Amino acid sequence: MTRKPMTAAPEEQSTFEPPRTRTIAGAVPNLQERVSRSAAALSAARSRLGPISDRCWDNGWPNPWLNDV
Amino acid sequence: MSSVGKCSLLILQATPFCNLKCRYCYLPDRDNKARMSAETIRNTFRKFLHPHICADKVTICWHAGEPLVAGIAFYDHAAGLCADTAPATVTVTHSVQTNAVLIDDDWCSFFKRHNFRIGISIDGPKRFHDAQRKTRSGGGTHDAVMNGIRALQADGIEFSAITVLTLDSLSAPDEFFWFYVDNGIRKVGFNIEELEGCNQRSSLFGSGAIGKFKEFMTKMYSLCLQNPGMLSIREFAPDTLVNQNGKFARPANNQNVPLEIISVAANGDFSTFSPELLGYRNPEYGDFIVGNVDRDDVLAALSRPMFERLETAIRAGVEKCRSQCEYFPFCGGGAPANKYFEKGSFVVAETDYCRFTKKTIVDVLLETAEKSPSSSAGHAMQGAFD
Repeated sequence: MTRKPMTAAPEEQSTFEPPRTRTIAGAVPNLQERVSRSAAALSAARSRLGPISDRCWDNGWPNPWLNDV
Repeated sequence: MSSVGKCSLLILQATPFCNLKCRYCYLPDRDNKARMSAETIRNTFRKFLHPHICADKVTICWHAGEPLVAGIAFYDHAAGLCADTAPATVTVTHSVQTNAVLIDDDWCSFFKRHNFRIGISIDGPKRFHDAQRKTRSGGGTHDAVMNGIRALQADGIEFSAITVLTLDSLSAPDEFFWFYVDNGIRKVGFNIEELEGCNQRSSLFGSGAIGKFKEFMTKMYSLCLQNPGMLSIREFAPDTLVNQNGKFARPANNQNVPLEIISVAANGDFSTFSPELLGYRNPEYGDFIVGNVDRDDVLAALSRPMFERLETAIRAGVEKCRSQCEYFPFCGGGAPANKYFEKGSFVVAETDYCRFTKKTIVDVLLETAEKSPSSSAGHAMQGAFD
């Protein structure tokens, strides 16, 4: 058995090639491009929401599994 | 087996029994009053709180049944066994996910004594909660839950809440937001009513509810931004979405990596991947049980053919997500239990669960950002569409 501490971050693993449909108006940006273009606004919103405590679950709030309870 | 992770979340079922009968419950064995024995608790800690198996920080979450029915003496003893067993290099935190109806001053003293983290299950305002979360005789439980919450608050004990959303609740985001704020509930995670286990129907699936869900979450996000600091909502904790490089920054999905989550039933049976799988049977994977803490060596149990088949199928399902889904970096390959319970297979990509809890949340955060004056998206998009 090979034991590894953790898989690599998903963002480093994606092989998805988003469809690049063209319209009369031009190229539709994919999801990653949209996130990149809105990074400043997303960060600003995050700051506005304030700190999110990890008091309830030590290994990260939200705990991904508890999303599914 | 290609790789295993290190356990950071150990879910322990003190008892399968639950004192409530919620309409959407997925647990198959909630009439069973069995309780985890001291020997099984000791073996669980000895085997899973081992530096070769667990991470430096481990959360023990008492769950899967109503944990508080096991009683304070049970947890006093378990906490003592844990302290005696855990290596000095491993930091253990206890948490409990409870319906709160049994919480009183004695429980509050216990929570403080052992520094337990508390998660409360409450489905928002009384009229929504009582329609779903019922006593065994069919009565509402909201008043009892609020009594438990007030006991925690009187003792200064911090807690978070989990709310299950059903179709009816989606029409009232303002009512939900102000219910939490007015009652001092500061942290909430929204689950959806899922098609899972013995809950064979969801009011949300197949009903066109996803648009209503999106409107609900969009309004919730807007209320949080308009009233900063009043309410933290798990879905908007957006380290979830973007990192310093403007790329997706969701942590790895620990439901898809063997051993990162370990679930132990009251009788010592243990499983990994999605905790909801424990207790169900399938012709191909048996009962999803990897082994038993009282009888088996953990790593040897992972070499069994059933586990190899299960891991191979779950990994194939993740690969489908990776190759087919633009949202893969946000979720890391979905939830095996939802794939299985919705589609009957692990080797699938999109589920209704994904569409609600992953894709829609990303869309809400992103579309709100794109409408923001501080977004460059508007200008860039304008250029793209010239």
